[in-house]
Amino acid sequence: MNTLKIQHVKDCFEHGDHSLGLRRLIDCVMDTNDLKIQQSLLDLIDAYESSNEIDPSNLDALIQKLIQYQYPENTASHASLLEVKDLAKQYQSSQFKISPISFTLKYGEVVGLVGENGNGKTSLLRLLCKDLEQDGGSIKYAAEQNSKSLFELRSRLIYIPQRVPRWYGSLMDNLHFTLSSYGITGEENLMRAELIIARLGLRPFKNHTWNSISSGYRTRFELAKSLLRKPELMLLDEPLSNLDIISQQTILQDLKYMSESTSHPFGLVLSSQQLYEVEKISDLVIFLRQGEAQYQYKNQDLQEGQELIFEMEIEESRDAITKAFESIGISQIQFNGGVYVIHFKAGSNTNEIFTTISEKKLNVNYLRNITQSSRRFFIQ
Amino acid sequence: MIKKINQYLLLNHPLLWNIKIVQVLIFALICHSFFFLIGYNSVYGLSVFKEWEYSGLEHFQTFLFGGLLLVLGLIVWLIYYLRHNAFKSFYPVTKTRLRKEFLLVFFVFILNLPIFHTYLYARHLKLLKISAHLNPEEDAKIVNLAAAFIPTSSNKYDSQNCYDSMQARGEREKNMPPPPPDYCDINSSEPVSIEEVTAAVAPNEEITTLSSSYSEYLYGNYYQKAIENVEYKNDANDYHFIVKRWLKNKERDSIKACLQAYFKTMDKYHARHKVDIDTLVAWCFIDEKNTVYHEVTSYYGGLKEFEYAQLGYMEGEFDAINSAINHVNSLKTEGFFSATQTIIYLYIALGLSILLILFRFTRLKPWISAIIGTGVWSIIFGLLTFAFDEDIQYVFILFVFLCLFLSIQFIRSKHNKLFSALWLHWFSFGFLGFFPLLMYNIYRATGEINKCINHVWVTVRPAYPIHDWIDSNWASIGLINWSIGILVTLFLIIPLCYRWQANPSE
Repeated sequence: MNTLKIQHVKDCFEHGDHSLGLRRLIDCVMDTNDLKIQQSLLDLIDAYESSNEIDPSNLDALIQKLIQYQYPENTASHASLLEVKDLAKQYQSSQFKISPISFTLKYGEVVGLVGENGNGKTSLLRLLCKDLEQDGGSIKYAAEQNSKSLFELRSRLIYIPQRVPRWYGSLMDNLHFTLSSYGITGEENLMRAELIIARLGLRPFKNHTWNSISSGYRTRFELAKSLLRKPELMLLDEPLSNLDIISQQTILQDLKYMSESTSHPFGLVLSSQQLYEVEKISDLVIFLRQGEAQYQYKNQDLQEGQELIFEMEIEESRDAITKAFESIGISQIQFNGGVYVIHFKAGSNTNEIFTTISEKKLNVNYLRNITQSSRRFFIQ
Repeated sequence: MIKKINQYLLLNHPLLWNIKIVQVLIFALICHSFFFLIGYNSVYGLSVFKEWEYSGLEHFQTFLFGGLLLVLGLIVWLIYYLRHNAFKSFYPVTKTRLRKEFLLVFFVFILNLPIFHTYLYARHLKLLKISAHLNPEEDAKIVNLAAAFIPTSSNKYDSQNCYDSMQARGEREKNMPPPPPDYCDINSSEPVSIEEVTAAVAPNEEITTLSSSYSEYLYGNYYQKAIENVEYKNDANDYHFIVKRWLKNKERDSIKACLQAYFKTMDKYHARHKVDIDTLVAWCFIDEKNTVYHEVTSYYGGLKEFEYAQLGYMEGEFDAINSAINHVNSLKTEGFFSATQTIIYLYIALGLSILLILFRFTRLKPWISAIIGTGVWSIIFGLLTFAFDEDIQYVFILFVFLCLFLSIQFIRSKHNKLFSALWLHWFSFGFLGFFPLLMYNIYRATGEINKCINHVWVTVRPAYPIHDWIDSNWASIGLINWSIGILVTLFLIIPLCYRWQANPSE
């Protein structure tokens, strides 16, 4: 596993992807508990930030150290982290309820929650972090085995709400406080805080306060703080909402990568409106409508007789589209004012659709196959 | 240096860093030093003893300044202390850590609250220093002897106001006849047996009033009067013998020497006087018909030097000299620290600590609601007390137990978080009253029982030993109750807060 990761780091640097290479390198180094290796990495980062170049000899030396490092064997990585069975919640103050939901999450896996606003995503996350009491079903945590009390269990379930709670003092002080509260003291405390802020691109803001950084960096800070807490289960409510488009793509990939940590893997449940970004990293996507769940598993096979569904932004009219795809056969076509969602009859295939677009010279600006995407659940 | 220490604490001892222990210690050191210096330098000379009061209005400005400084310091400290809360953030906090935090909060309060006391202590030390050469007992003897020859208002000569030794005073009081029994209303008396009456009232007992006994001790009776039939052998009567001898033998020189010593003592204590000693000596022998013709005006201060010089009559700060000697005597004989004051500080610190940790370990909404609710409960209990006399205290004890029961029940069953916190807060606010009330009730139940028999109150059952023990140990009871308060907070309130925090919101 680590050999693969280290090879990936080497590849990144060889191909000139220094930024990605550094991020992955930090992940590998953070998996170690070796302060000397961590210090070497920080020196490397300092040099990179000052000259914008990586010293190959220092990099090679560091990679060699990583190759020689004996990573601890983590036996928990394949175990089930969370088993949710028929979980239900009925709010007394309103008619809204979450109908029975069941799923399993292992270490290193990601569950994405999608759905329109007010359909139960936040409620489900709060149920999972024990902030809400369920009315039915069960939640079984792997962390329960090592927890003497409910408080101890909750301290292992890290929930970041959509609206990040305000913090006071400098960013760095907060990280040091978090680490020392978790018993990580002295040099190790300093080192880990430095590494995590480097990992999440917060170095220039280390002495900044809440008021002097943007909401996107506040979210990054919250993630940094949560990652330092060695979570077993991370529950993120709309973590992408304050991030720019580039960060949205990278942060989720990074989180997925970090959840597969060698020394400390964790599970991730996150809600988001960025459907396709979430789908990319999720092992399971749960779509919630009025509290009822529909499930989309990763690499789920196409079922026999299932229609092909395409999302298409096209300049032609509805009639022209219907006529163009007449030979393939359209069972349903919907237009939301921006894009068409076209259901092709069962038995059709993707190649036929592309060929038709090409032959009929249709002016397509955007095209996506959503047959195996939870995007299709949004269609009324 | 401070930054380095704070950085070390941040990296290694987050609780101490969070509570801002370095800043707190520095603040306490500065405040206590500052108030010590103010207190030490507020005493300039012996004249301070004339109007010296321990906590009188003369210190009000200092007290107000100290109070404002404390409030300001407390607000600033709270701003920084409340910034980070590992417990509410669900960091891996143990109950032991919460207990440590509570004890640290208590330490912060107990360290900073007595800054005004530091001011008073500094004054005390300075007063001891400047009065080291004074001997109040010797000075009191001079004043006592001279007082017989200075005809101010006759009530100044009451034996209770004279400065003979404590031993002599004790002897005198021991020889006093017992106070007469209180007269009572026959209509309110309960029927009693004849045996009870016989046991209570000795036949043909003479009833004397205290006032008639005290009249024999008035110095005024000896002024310009032949002293006869003095039987008591104590210091006070030694004076009487001397006064009698000087007056009978017309020993003018002795009286003059005595008065000279008296006014010299007044000078020592910076007590002002304008008295012609020869005239005063002459007055002692003007009349032998037991009548006080002349009075020397007691000087109460406020007169300007100019006016003072212009006045034709004799006057002096006679009250002031008495007061000064008394103060010097108590300064030298009584210690500075008293159990009552210590207990008061301990209770204030404990109360504030409980209030703060409840805010810290629960939430603002139940905290505010509980404080408002406590006000409402107080009004209800007040009205009930007014309506049903003292028996309402049992309702209060019941209420405290009810709050405890409901808070445990609600928290265990993960019931509504607001209500469970409210019960917990009300228990925390009220439990300190439980033990003193219990003691008070035992005290009342074990006291002597009197009944009105033939218009006289008679003791039908003497007090139990525990009654007397409680009566003489209220300070110890206060200290025990405070210890119970600490233990209940550490081992009941904090674990309940810990469990409450983990419970789901809804």
